[in-house]
Amino acid sequence: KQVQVSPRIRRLARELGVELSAVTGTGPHGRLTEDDIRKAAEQMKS
Amino acid sequence: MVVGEFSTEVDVLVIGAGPGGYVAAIRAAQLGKKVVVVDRDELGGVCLNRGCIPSKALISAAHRYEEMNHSDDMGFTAEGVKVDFSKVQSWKQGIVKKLTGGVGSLLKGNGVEVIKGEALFVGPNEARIYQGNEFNRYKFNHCIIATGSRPIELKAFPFGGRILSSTEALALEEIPKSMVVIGGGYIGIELGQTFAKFGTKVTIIEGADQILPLFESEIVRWVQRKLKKDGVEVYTKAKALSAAQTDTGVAVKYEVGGEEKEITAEYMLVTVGRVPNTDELGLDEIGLKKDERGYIQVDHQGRTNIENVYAIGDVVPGPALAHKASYEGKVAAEAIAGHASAVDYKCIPAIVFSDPEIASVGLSETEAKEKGCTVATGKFNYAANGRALSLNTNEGFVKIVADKESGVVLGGQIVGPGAPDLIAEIGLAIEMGATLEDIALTIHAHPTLGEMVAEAVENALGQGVHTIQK
Repeated sequence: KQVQVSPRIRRLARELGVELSAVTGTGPHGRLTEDDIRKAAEQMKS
Repeated sequence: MVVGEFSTEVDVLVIGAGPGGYVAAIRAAQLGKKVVVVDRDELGGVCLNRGCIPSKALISAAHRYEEMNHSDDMGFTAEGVKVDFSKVQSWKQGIVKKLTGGVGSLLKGNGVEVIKGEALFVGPNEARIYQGNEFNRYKFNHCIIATGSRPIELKAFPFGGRILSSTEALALEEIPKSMVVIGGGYIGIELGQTFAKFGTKVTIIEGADQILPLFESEIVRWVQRKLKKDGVEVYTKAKALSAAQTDTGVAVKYEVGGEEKEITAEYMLVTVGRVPNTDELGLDEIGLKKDERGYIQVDHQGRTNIENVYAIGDVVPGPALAHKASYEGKVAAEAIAGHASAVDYKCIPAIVFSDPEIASVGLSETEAKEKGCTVATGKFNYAANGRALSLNTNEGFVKIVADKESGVVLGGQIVGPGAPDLIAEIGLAIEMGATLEDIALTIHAHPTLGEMVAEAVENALGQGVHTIQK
């Protein structure tokens, strides 16, 4: 099932180098939120 | 200074100042780049000078004329309404001039240098810009090719004299008595119907089995019906064979249903598509890759096979639409500035200013089913919308297509007045991954045409208030 991601979050993920398919969304219906992307970016660093 | 010896260095050279090029130039300048944009014609490209804007101006003039003559059901009777077509044309040109002037001010205001001339690549980092026979050399770090497209010219019907492309049709000084339109795509339909409203006897010859072949037949039906009312003759599954020009007209031979026929008209308008302007730029000489049809191959940022050269708009594959070109222009400029931008859209709206207007975005019901989706659809008719009736219109519908299980909006199709504006909400819903409920729970102002989007959505959910639920 395709996770729904808004254009702004898609852009943020690109800027932070986060692969969308690798992130679990915590928003409604599993949506990816800004927090999800930022946390995934942090984890990539550590 | 000897011509051709002086070399100017710039960060970004943008070739073409259409909706792709000028937007790319401005965005690159906003991001701190030194930008030069070169165009051989007026600023604004095809869209402003020979496309979107002039055609919409003529369409609205024709619509005004029609309404002046046919508003008797609202209590208006007009007699002797006259069209001064040269005034229509000068009004239209005034709009074009205002907008192209605006583009010039925006470029200047952003510090972009504008050069009127033709560019020719002499290397991956250098181009000559010709002004007449003289040229200057420009060295660039990055280049964006945005040279657009031109009407396809058929060998059997070379443009000239009484055989027109959309460009000449838009600039006609008088209303033609008759016109044969080859090609029932959106340009042919928009222009054909417009002249028909002004009184031209219009015949449309389309090769496919319906006009506007990119739109669903349930939508196109409404346009066909109105074309008939407007006195337009439409032949589908038909093929133009030859044309013979005389001093006063053009005799067109065509084939339909296995039968050869001939029709004589004052003009023949050929609108069978557009071809990318990639043949006079010296692209082969610098090894830039094109496909067999002349389109430039690009990656997700608009980059060609030459690292520092980008291409956007009608010269790259995809629908030849101004809003696609502008979007790609921003992406390319941002990529050049080091941003992580990419061509990443879920949908591009397509609209036709036919009568009635039509608009489509995302997946149609058929396309969604072909992709294996279980589909929920909802429709709402203009005839049940209070605002539509108060505008004296009752023809058309809004249709929404969604994934049945999740409710995620997949597409929308609209036929009826205002469709090109109404489609924006559905486009946003698709980009956001919004569900039917998201739209249903958004308060739409009453009375507006926009309510029909919410009503179509409620019907898809099986809970429409202004439609009897079966």
